[in-house]
Amino acid sequence: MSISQMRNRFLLIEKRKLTQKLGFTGLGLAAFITVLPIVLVVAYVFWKGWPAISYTFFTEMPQDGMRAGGILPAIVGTLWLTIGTAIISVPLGLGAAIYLSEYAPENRWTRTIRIAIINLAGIPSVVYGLFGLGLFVLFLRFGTSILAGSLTLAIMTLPVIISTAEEALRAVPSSFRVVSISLGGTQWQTIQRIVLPQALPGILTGIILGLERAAGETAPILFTVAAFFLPQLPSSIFDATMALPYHLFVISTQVPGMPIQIQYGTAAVLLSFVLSMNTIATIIRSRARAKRQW
Amino acid sequence: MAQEEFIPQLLNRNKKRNHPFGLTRRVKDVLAGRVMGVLSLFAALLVPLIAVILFTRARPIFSAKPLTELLFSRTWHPISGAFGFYPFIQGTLWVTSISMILAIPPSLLTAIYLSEYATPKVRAYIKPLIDLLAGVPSVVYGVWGMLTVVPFVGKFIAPLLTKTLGFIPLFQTDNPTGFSLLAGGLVLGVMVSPIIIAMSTEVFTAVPQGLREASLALGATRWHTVKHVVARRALPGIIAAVVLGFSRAFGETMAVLMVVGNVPQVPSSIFDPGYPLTALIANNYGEMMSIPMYDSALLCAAFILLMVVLVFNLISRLVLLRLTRSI
Repeated sequence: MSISQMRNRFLLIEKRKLTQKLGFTGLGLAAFITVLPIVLVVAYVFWKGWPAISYTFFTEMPQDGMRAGGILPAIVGTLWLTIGTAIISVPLGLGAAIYLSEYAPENRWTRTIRIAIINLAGIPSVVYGLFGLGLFVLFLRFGTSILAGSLTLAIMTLPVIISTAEEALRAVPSSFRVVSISLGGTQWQTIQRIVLPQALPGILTGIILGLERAAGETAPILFTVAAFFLPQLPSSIFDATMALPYHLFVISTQVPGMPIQIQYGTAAVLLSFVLSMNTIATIIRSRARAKRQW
Repeated sequence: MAQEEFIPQLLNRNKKRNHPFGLTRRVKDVLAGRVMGVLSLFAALLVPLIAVILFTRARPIFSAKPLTELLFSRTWHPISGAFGFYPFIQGTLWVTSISMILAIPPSLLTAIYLSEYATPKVRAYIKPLIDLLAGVPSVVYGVWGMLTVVPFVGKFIAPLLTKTLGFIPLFQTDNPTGFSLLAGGLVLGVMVSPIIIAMSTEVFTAVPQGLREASLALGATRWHTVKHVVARRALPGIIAAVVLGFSRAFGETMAVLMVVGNVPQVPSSIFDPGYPLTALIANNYGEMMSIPMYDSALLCAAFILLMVVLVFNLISRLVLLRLTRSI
């Protein structure tokens, strides 16, 4: 190899090293610039909302056209809706997930079912709202009620729960199943006593993430349950109720002269409700991963 | 032979042994399988059910007006019976495109950084954070957008861009408020990036380590490896992530509704206010229901949204199938 060839080669390597370095720094910067504003949004909401938060903010009814007082009915409503959603969507979603991962044969039918469920996840939330209105509120005559709202939200969370639960069930090694069945267990016994307990953390994570989305959504409850203002708390599942996300929407767009502090305060309460669910899910997941023996 | 291939044989063997105590548990076994099959069938039937319900309630307007008039007429005047969705379709398209242009490149770069370059420690902190951000409710983004993004666009970005790039019609403006397509796109972009980042990071991480090692062993730098090996292999997954982000942005209601201005006009600049389909539904449903066909016009809007999302998902699924086969 002549000197000039060697020199060229050296230059080439230097050039590639330089591109690499540029690539590294560029990517790091891009990641930083992308993640930072989103983190700032959350931090900003908490920072601005903090002064509004006090004990009475959680325990009092809204006063003065919602410009003062607390947000108790909205918090209660969101809790009711979240619980209602869980009661409906967890058994449904879990059952479907177990079928898809344990029983379903790999054929065209199963693929069609799976594609339908995946497509369910892409439907816009406002479309769920109109569907809930058409089916539950008007056709089945539930009225604008917690029942109708929970059903609508449950259908929205169903695909999330099904796909995460199915993934968790599939992650359980098949040797576990083989051992149980070779000892004489039926398939259901195997699922019930071996597979489900092993997949439980993953399933729980999926359920919590699904419910988290339900708790924060506004569009599906817009026509099915949410009330602008109610002077009392809901007393049965056939009552309409206020809910945190809708309340936040109302006070920031429809009430003139709303103190900004209360808007951010309400946003902060909603955020902490949703984000604490998320954190619980993360903790369950990472603890299960650390404990897992397979 | 893989272990799971033994399962049917073993199950068969168990069935043949007629144990005197085994009847209840065998009944339970059969029942459990059936019930869960029905449940999953129910979940699968929801999509057609939604489509049918929307369609039946939107039918009056479909039979009264030709589809081309609904889709391409520019006049929206429900009281006189004019239902042209064109301005709203345009509004949806503009906001979604702006958000995708703003969100996709930085999100993908972030995902590459997280999966290829970041140390495990950085990753361990950032990943839960991104999952957390993906869970922030849309109405919170809306409030944030209304109180900070809208004034920022109105007072800062609009004058700046008009001054420097005003000769392009896309950047001209006479709308001083900031409630604009750009504000909607910005809020949506910030909102969908965590979703795209989370999913594409997973996709990049799933690329087999052996491929990277082979490329590095041939003398490629890490950057080259990422560009020519990892990115290629991850392409189908990346497309899936982008489609997911798109469906979210396309169907998002509250966050957009609060910042986009809601004026039914065909926009010509990113600083014009717009009125996406989703916002139309959320804003008007329940009001003015005495106007004939208003109700079915809004359901028609929902039906259009549903169809676009479904068709888009199916197309992306076909593309994915092609791509995965060709790799």
